[in-house]
Amino acid sequence: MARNRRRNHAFTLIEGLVASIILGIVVAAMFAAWNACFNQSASITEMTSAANIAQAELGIAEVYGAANMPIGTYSTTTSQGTWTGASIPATGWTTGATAYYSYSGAQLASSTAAGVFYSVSLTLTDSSVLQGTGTSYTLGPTSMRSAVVTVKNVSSGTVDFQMATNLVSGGL
Amino acid sequence: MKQFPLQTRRRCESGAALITVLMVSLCTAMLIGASLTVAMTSQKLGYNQSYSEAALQLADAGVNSELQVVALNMTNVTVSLKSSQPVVYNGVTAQRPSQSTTVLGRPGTVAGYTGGTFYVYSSNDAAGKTAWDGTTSPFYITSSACVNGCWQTVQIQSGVNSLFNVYGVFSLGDTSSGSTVTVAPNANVSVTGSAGVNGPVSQGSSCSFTAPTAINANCSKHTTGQLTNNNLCSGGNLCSSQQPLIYPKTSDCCRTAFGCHPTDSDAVAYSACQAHSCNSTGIYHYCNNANSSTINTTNCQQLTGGCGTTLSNSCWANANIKPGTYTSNWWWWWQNPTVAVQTLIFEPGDYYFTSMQLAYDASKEMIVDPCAYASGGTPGQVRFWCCDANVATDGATDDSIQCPIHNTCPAGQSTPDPGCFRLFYDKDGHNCTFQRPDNCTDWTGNTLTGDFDYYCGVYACSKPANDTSSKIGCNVCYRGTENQNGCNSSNDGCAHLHGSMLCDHLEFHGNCKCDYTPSQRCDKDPSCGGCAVSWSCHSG
Repeated sequence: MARNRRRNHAFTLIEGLVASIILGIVVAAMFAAWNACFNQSASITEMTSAANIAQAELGIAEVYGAANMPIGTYSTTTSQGTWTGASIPATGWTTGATAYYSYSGAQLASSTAAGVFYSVSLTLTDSSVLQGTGTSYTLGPTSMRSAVVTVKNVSSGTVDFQMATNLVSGGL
Repeated sequence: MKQFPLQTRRRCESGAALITVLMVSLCTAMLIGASLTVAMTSQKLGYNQSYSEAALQLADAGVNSELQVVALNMTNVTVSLKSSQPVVYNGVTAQRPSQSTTVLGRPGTVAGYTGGTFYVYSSNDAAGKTAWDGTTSPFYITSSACVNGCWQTVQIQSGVNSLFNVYGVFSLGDTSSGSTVTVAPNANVSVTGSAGVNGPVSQGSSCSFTAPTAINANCSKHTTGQLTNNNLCSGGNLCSSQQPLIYPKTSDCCRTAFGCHPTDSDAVAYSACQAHSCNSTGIYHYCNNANSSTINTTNCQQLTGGCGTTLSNSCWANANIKPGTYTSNWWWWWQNPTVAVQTLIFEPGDYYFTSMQLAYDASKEMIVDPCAYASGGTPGQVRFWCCDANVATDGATDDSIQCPIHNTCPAGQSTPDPGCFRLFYDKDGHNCTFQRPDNCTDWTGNTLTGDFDYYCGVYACSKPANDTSSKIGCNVCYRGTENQNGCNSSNDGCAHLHGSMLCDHLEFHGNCKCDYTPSQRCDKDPSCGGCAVSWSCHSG
């Protein structure tokens, strides 16, 4: 009877150890999974927010229309004009500017504002343009303006999202 | 009562902790799996939404790219090269998820963007079964785009943009010798809108030619000798293009207008023009008993016999008198009333002439009636075609219009629409002059002041800059009074175009004005490109 009681006690201890180990593994896996879920969720939120910002920026460009967007500088090498800038609330489309947004997609005044998360810039590549004096040019009836919006994560510098379209006079 | 011994009870309880933990683990694993599944699904949905938005923008890019292709290829005589075709292009293997066939249309992307590709084509019908024939309007542009596996399709209904609605004046020719724009000494030329040249410009002493925008095209050939800053209005722009601007020839416009095949000869096209002309049926004049000069079906009647292929003052010979324009209000029965003004009214349609010789005569009045007030018919464009089916001679004479041309306006509109009147000129090596002569008098004998106004688009192109044939080109000359007193001073006036003028050679004498006025009614004009009318999209 004493031998049986000892054997029962030893079995219970091992059982407890195995159970604890399994429980530990399960808890660790659970936290790892939660962590992965949270990271994925953050990644999705960051990308969808970046996509929304990019779409908004392109939308503003489309509303302005091909004829009213700023003119850049002409390159004799490529026979194209290029403009880079962003839509700033105070100044409108501003050459060389970068727009800044928070994580939630609110536009901020500057790169030093609290909560800056994204930087946004728009590049226009203009083809079939009429060359002016020096690096100036104007749009002709067959000109096309290729617009690419790039949204970056300010802290890492990585590109979160790019969206692009073409603008022509009389087009969409 | 039977009691279980203690040992038996312990044996029954052994392994309970392990079983409990295993059950908890199983539940937790299920929860983790579910959470991961939900997270991955959310991620996929988020990505799909973002990439779908990008695909939609890219599909828009395809539509706009196609509009540019249409604009760039308007002069191409090969219909299949005027736009992208609804066929599978070389190298394209992509398939939409819901379709088992390869996507149709020209592949392309946006400069500076590598995230996806669009596929675009133009068609006569919304279903995309028939390729656009280059003339049907409206037509459809369909663009599908794929970004990271997400597809979007956009389709727009597109209208054509008139080639008269781009420039004020443009000299399209480029002969090996001589200038394509000649501004005579002491001429005073004022242009609104854009003025452009493919070739050199010759300006005489003490002349003036100014425009707000001056375009030098064909600059790779002409590094000097074109328009300069001196031709700019204050604050104007001087622009250049290395390539010449190539527009269709007048005969191409004729082929388009009369449904001829692109390979049909000029003679065939102009024969079709003559066969469909309204020379004998579309010209009206006042009735003998008209009670007022108001142009309507009561006061006007068809001119019996119409007019031949020469438009000259003799065409007015059988026209009745315009009411209220007798030199006297009464006469004796044995006397004939003195004719003051005879009027010819041109109803909507095409008129074919081999020669136009209209000398100034105060007793002859010419009215273009796109509103069809005189006939009561359907309003539409009035088109004059001055050309010669015998292309071997291209006509024997120069042409001249030395009288004002009046236009009717729709009710409530005071200014004529230049889109309602077109003059297409194709007599290679010949000259068509619009002249406001000096020292004119009106039908009452009083000195005439002011401009001769022409609300129309003038098109005269027989030799584009890339044409290597032996043709010379058509010359259009504007000749205002040369007293240099300004257009609106006494005895003085301009030859004043309201509309636009596209021709091989341009020549200006005296006081001239060209006011670029975009046409409102221009659905019958040859196209210089497409423009979006309406659009819809659906995702895939």
